[in-house]
Amino acid sequence: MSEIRTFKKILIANRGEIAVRIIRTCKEMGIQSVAVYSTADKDSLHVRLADESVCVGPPLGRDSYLNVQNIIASAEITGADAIHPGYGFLSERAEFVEILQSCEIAFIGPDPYAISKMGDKSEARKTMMAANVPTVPGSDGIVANPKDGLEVARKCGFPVMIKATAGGGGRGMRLVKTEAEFTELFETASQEALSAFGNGGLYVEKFIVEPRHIEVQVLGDKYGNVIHLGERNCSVQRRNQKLIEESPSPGISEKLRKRICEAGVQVAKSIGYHNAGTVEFLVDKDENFYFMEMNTRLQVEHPVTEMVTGFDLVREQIRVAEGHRLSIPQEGVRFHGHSIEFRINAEDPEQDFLPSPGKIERLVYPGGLGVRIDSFVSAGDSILPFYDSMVGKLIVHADTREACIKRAMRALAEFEIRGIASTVKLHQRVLESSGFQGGRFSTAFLANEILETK
Amino acid sequence: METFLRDFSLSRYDTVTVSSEGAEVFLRKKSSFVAKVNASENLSNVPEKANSGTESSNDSSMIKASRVGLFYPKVKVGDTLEENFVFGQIRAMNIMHELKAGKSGVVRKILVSSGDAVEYGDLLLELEGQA
Repeated sequence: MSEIRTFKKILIANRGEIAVRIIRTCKEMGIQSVAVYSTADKDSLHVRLADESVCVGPPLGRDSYLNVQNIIASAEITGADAIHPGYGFLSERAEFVEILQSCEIAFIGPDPYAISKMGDKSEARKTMMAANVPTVPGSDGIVANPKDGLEVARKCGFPVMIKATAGGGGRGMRLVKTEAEFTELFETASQEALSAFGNGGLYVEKFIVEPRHIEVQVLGDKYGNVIHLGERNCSVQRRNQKLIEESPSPGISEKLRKRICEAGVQVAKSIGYHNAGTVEFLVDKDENFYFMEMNTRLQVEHPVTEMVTGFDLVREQIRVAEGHRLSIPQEGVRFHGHSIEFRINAEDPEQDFLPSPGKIERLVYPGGLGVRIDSFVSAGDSILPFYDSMVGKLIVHADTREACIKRAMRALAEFEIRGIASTVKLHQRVLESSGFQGGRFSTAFLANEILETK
Repeated sequence: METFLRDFSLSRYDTVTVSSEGAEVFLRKKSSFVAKVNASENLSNVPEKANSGTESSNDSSMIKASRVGLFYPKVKVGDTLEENFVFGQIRAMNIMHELKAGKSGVVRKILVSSGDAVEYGDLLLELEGQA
């Protein structure tokens, strides 16, 4: 476990901007890179940038980027030492990591134990309660029937959330406002969870009214050392999909910032976590915070943390996966300035965020001091209907939040994109709003204050 | 709709069904159109890819790799294939996967040497005189 295994060649089991992001760090570290791609992506930037590439299947993700056999065979025929999963696709599949171990291919991420512990939501909740991390009041684990569920709901007080233990993406999830509707909603949630995840297990939690979403970036090595790289506020969301993320979080006290970051480290330590991970918390109006879940992978929004700490998170991931110790202790982490990320998606906010795949006729990225673009497309490329609608991410950095907002406004005004719908204008409206500028906004902000008030 | 049709024409799918609010549209590519699109795409292709140019030749006489791994042919030029005939194996993760022809014909060419790596879609065999 403690020996160093230097990677000479890394296969990136992903596509789009994150595959490009990872290949860039591989190049800077002098590590060879292998892209895998579907037939629909054969001209994509990640394939062109990588040293080698292997076609792993037809366009649909389940046939290509989720095709475990073809991806591992690709590592075998190219002689790759390690696989970086990026986010999504195979990044949080414990059984994939177990297969890699049996093939002696390293996985750039945590071990299967941590992935499965955190992948099962009620299991994660129980583990955190045992580790004295604050969790939202609710059931100890799965509730067996509506009657037991109702008892829990009465104890923590309405409104409550019913959640699927295997859940994600809002499926198998119900907000229950009154006692009268509990049993019926419990049963429909259970049905939905069963058909969506093959697991109808539900748990019950108190519903936190207008919470803020604040998450902590953690990084651990294989020797039990864990540090945090500060927090991110991701409260600008639509239906649990993040649109804007920033670090540090505005509108919280220094005391909360310190406590929440320490709690993030405590969560990671309690499960012997190594590699990069994110611990998500809900924060209520009185600055109480509750563990929500841990994402055992690199996040979409990791660049804002990189901008304020100067760390290359992918480099750190590769180093700890090779068996190195963390390159610095907690005291060595220095935070500088403020950073905001904007997800530029091919979606039409005017039409209920309808995905807008198609050819990009014209595309001009903003530039200048403190402006970073993580993308994979240029004019003439297409956003394909088979995958998520992300065009790229605009990440802005400045000394203060105020300066960062001004810089972001300047950068978004430079952003030209034609041929597909995008979220650029929506971001401009958010930046101009007093709610965002004031820095105290909840996850209900976008729906209530921006999308409602057109 | 226009962008969708373009995406579809560039995709490798030959048919697609679109349903929206009770209406259903079924689209099928004409094979000549598929060939044309792919032929023009090949101009900008990565040249070293073994599978570039696959679709511009007559697809029906070609057998392609359905998975990634090391290819071991079990036939020689001149052999006659039946649909369920195992014409070769692909080795991946220390397992040999048998490949069935899926079509019949006489082997004209074997395009990959025994033990060479293949990726999804690579041409393996060329057939002639298929039934």
